[in-house]
Amino acid sequence: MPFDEVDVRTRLLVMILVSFAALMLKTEIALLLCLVFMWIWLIPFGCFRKLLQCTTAYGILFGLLFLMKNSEHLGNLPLLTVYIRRLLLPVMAAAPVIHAPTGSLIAALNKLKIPRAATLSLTVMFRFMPTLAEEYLRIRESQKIREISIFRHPVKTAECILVPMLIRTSKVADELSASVQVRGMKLGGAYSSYRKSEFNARDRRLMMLGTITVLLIFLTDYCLRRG
Amino acid sequence: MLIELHDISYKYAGASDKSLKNVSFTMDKGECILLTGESGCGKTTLTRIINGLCPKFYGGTFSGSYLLDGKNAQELELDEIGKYIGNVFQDPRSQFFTSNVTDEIVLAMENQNYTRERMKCRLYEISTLLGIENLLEKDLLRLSSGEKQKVAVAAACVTKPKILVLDEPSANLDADSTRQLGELLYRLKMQGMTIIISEHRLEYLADLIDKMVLMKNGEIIAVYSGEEARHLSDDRLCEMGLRLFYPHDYQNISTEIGAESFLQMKHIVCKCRKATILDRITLYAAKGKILAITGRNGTGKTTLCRIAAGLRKENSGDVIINGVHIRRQDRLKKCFFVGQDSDYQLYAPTVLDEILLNRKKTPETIRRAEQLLQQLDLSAFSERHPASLSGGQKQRVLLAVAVMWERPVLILDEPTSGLDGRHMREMASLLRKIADDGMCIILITHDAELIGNCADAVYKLECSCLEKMSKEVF
Repeated sequence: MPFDEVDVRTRLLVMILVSFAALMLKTEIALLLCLVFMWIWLIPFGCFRKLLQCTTAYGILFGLLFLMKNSEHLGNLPLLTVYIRRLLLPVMAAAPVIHAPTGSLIAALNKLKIPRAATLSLTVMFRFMPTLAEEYLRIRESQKIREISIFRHPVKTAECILVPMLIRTSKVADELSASVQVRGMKLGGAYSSYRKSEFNARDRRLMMLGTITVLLIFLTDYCLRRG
Repeated sequence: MLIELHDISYKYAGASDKSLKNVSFTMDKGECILLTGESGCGKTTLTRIINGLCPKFYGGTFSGSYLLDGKNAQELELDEIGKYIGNVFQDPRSQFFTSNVTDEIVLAMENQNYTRERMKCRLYEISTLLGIENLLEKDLLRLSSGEKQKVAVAAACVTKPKILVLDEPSANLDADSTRQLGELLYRLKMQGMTIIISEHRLEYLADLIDKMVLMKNGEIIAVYSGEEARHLSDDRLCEMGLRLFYPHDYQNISTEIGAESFLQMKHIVCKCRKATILDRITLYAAKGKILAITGRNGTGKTTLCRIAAGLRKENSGDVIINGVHIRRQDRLKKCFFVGQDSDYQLYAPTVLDEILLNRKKTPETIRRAEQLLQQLDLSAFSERHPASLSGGQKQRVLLAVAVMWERPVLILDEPTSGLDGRHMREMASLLRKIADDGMCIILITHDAELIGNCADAVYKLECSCLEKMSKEVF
């Protein structure tokens, strides 16, 4: 894909900017502009699946908000759809970072002089995202066979999901930790990177464009609020 | 001596009993040693003592002396022991730190501060030696089980450790991949590497091992030379609860189910993105019979059975149960699918609750559940948390759950993966009993011994096509 060689630091900057925007923007139009920006950003990385999933979820949640806004019996449920919808933007922005080879992520974080403990925590976090998704899908699939439905018994089902998820995740975390420790990973000591983290003119341009775009979205948001 | 263990005893933190009791053995450079024994005999713990994870990572109480290349291993840090020993664990999914093959292989070198040029050189050498040059830069999640295991071996050997420790490396591999793993270990042995394998499946190690260490209840009960081990009779191996070095050929098993078919899958086509996983597959299974489906990793065996169970939609084709065309949603009520990993399928706080989960609790159902526990030799564990049971016990709990749901078709995906010989044979006779009670059973398995022990018919799935097993196929 055209953006495969884009440095992880550029991807991280856009992720941070979009996450900040998702938190701070007040108007729906500005959020929508942010979504459009994510389309433009993610297509050259080839993250089509993530784009479609998140955009569909965004649309459904937006529709639900309209359906629920006049209902007095739903309490804070409409607000919850707003929060989840906002969360989708950082999830989309994180896709190019997750998509990058783990070695490139570690090399980029090393270049940024981020402490080793933070680098390893961040890497493990990104490593665990697909694992968690896979574990969840497997659990739900085997629950279908035993007719455990989230709609009929939400509390019981949540427990049935959480228990095996916790057991599996702690097992994977334990085994993963053992596996990397016997391969010499530790907080202190010298280490090197196989992958080069190269920041070139294109990265500078992309960083600038990303920053300007997010600033323009903030400006639009500000103007819309001012009327 | 490269490894000298003297009078080692070990107890995990919080455990009531010792996992290893007064274990002593030595190992010379270039030897290949097999650690075997029934599940829970202490094989994995012994490998963890050797690679330093016990007690340095898992804690617990350790006594005895362990010399690694003449040095006291207790005084070495884990990363220092890691320079002597490369490790391959049972489940590659939980040992990979990165998402990319190249990153995973070079990880140990990065941690030992190799220069980029040296890393490139070693990466080339190891990938050529193991024949995985075509896998470099690929996404680890998209590799087959056999490919993942090769990457795990490459990642363990890339820093040229003197010793390679493998814990049940063939647990998730098909027959071809297992054979390839055996060849790969032979190549490493020829290069002078010392190899320790903890394993249940013995057939691929027959010509490789110099010593077989037999363990029971945390103790070494016998040590055989390679020659002595190979000459142990099948009856003797069965007595010891082990699998066979030379499993019986199962080519004489019929390719026809030999009864009126109860489940028919006709011309099933399944595509994922643009790839065809299953191409016009037709399959028949009958009540009271056990049909085994075998074939290489990644050929679509599980996909085919997930379609039968209604967990996945086919692109075209028919699924007919008892003469009636059944829609996908309704298949979920006709079939019970037991997946490979039991951890995903156990949710309740006790074994009895697990069997009764989502069933009406009437005196009859409770009596039936207790009866099942008794039949499956689980009565003693009825109040235990399912997660605390051994692999074989968890599989038996899942069988009890499946029987409790009284669905006519039972599908099991690799039910004996990681089971020792005794438990594998017990599982085979249990399945036979359930089939004789009138259930239609489909097994997805690589386990030739399980097929030989209980299957009525065998199909082999190869390259998206189902072939009836014949002498030409095997």
